[in-house]
Amino acid sequence: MSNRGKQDSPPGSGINRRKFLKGIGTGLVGSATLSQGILPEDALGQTPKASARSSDIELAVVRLKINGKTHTVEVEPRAVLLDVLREKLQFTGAKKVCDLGECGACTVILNGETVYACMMLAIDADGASIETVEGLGTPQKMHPIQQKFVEHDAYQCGFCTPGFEMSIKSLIDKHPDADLRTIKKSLAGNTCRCGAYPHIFQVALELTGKKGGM
Amino acid sequence: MAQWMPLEKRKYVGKKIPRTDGPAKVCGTAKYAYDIVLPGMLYGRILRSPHPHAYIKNVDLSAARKHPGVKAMIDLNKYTVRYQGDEIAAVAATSMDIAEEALRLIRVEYQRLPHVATEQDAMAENAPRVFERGNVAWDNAGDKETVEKILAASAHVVEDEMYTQVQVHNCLEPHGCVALWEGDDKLKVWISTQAVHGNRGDFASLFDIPEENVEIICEYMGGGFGSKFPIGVEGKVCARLARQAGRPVKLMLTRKGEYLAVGNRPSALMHLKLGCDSAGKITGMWQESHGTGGIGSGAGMPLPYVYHVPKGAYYKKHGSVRINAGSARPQRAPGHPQAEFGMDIIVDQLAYKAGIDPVEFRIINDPNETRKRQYKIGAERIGWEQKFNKVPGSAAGHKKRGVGLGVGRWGGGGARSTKVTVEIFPDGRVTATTGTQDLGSGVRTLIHQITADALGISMDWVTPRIGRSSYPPSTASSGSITTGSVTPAVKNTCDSAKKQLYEKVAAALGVSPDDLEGANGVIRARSDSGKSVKWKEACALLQGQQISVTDGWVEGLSSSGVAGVQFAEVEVDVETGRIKPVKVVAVQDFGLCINRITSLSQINGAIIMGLSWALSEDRTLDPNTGTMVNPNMENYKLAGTMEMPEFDIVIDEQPERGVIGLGEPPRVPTAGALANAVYNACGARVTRMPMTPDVVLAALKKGGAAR
Repeated sequence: MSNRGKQDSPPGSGINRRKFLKGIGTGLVGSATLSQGILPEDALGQTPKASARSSDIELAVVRLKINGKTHTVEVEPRAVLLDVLREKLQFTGAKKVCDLGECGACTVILNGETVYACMMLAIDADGASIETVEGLGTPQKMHPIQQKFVEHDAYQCGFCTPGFEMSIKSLIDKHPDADLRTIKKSLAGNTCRCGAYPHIFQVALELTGKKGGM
Repeated sequence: MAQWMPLEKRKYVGKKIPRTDGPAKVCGTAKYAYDIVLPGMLYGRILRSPHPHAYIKNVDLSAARKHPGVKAMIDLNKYTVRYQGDEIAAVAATSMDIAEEALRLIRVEYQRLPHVATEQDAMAENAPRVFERGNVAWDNAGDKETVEKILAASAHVVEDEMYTQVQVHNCLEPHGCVALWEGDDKLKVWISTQAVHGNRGDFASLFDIPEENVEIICEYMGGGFGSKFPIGVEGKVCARLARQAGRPVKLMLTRKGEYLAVGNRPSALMHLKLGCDSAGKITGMWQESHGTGGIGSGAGMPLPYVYHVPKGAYYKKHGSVRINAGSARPQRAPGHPQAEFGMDIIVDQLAYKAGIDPVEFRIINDPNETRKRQYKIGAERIGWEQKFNKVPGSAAGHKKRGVGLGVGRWGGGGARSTKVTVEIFPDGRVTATTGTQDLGSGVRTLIHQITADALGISMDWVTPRIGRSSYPPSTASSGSITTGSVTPAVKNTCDSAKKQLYEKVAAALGVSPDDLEGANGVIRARSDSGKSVKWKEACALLQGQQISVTDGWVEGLSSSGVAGVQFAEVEVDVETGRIKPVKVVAVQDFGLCINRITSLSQINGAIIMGLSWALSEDRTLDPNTGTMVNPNMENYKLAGTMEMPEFDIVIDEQPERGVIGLGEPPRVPTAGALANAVYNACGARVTRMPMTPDVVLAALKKGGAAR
């Protein structure tokens, strides 16, 4: 729990920016509100400070190079990358679980670094090159990471799986000979509720050639 | 009575077979309810009460209704909200962000009412009432005085108070669905559920439409653990919004909604006394306890657990307490882990007090023959002889290691109502179809394996199909009965379909159908091995018309009642109070193992859920405000990669008993095993969960190896 998410923090101050812009959209902007750090759902039941005016928001055009192919998409400036990937472009491999950068289910690789897609605005990804699980392989032609996941049953429900795969992809790209301790630390930003961790470790260990490392 | 195929015919059953749906899951092509995107689809959100207890004087939707992008709204017409997160209203809008904005434009006038957020507050005299009927329901058994006399006359008696906290399910895929109306009276719903057929009935009765007009789809679902049986407020509201808007609606709960409103495991505070004679035989048990499932019931637990307490020597006074918090729902072995934690700690204490090795003490008092055997296997695997500290906490240094154990039992069984359709097509392809759902247990794969072996063909010929209410009825996945329900029905239906095919083959070969057997894709006559036909040729005899058989569950292929033990080794840092789980050994019986790797995943996962509960998870309510202070995955601590110990799983197979479900049983023994190992390591009894460093240090202060 200690090192969770460190490895996977999005670049810059994505978390604050996202909160801030979501605030604008809701009319909740104002120093008092922001200094209290109110998140959208915490504000439920409170009297709005001003009327919401989402229809006035000018749309932004964002170019995302996803798995090698460029997609041009019109988004609200407050739109979160994960929602754009999933709901607009139907790359639904990355999952929405916590929506707060805590679980890693939405992990994608952006310009070579893992990010939580739920913690990043789509406009901040403009021009970026994004790798998602759909780009790794297909059921007919799986990536070695995917083959190992299937071989070792490194999942149960499968909802966290794409996020883990992207974290492992980044790990072995950067530390091709990682040992178990490094693997555990690198994957600490991903959560699996079914408890597939022992099998996920086996996947990573075999990919880094540390088969007997358990 | 029906029988499983003989051992030599099991090419897939009992083996390590990768999941059929594995490639779809790892490539992101598996579509969960949350992944469904339909043309014109709206997004639903629920407005929840920020207060634990209040009258609702007025709900004003007018401002929200005018908000651009809002297409449908529902006022749930509640007069009273009884927990933070109680549903008040809902909206559907063209985006999730707009739906959230609209919620903020709904003006609700609350009149706050006094609340109770702890069991103690709720049990106090003149406490505010959660419901009119009062906050506590008592459940009594046995005679207190008699039991106290028995204990007074016992050679050894121990007494302690054990506490287990509320655990939230935390399914990674939230509760919710996508609802699509096709005309006024036909509804299609993609839903994350443990009960495909049950949900069909829920929606049909809600809208008073024929059941056959409702189609439930759940090909994949992201975890349930007992919290996803009913369609819930979220399901009802989603379909109502879709009907109002005339457009499909996706409504999946936020993570905060998951923490507040869709279930949890009740707490338990157990004051226990246990006595034994000089030979270590338990003489009597005394229990005063209570627990809370929020506004819900079901805070009981099956004490005395596992070990034999003589008839008439057990006294219980248990209170199910209601507080202003989200309702409990079944969670992976309801009641059992709580009971195990209380029982296995008090039993452990008595063993030490009587001067009997804790493993030996359990063998003396556990009537179950399977577990009697398992204790010895587990002790061997953990290295009990070498690692058990005869004087707990006596090891040198501040990082002290120790070992302990815990036990579990579960029922399982199968639902007779389960039906399966098997079709054999003239081109040789086979489908096996039933409306069950795969929560992650791997039932889709089990169907695939069994169908192939029952027909004596390669799995490549077979397509298993699940997760639709238009498929033959299957039971809800509750009580670990999915495997025990589905797999016998699959085997039986395959046998029926095979019989029809063999009649055609027999006529072609000029032999009797009973003379035929199939293996490795060839059907041949037992009496004359020269008379044979390949599977594809056999199916071609069907001449354009497939065999289609629907049949059901039969007796003889499954049973119920399983036993398991777990041993834990931990390292306790007596300076920081941190517990490091080092190793967990599980010895688990579940009858016939169909798939050796998915079974391992089930057991690993159950242990981890127990370990996470024991060491870190805690639904924390602020008693003053009655609100949850950690409704997110940052502060509700799930064990992660850094907390993982080494695992050693022993599948204690009893194939002659047939299949028995495995989802719940291994969830039970972990917490008690860990707590007992902590005692053996540091000499302090940690009786309160989660066993966080502060709790461990407090226990060390009272006794043990603290410095």
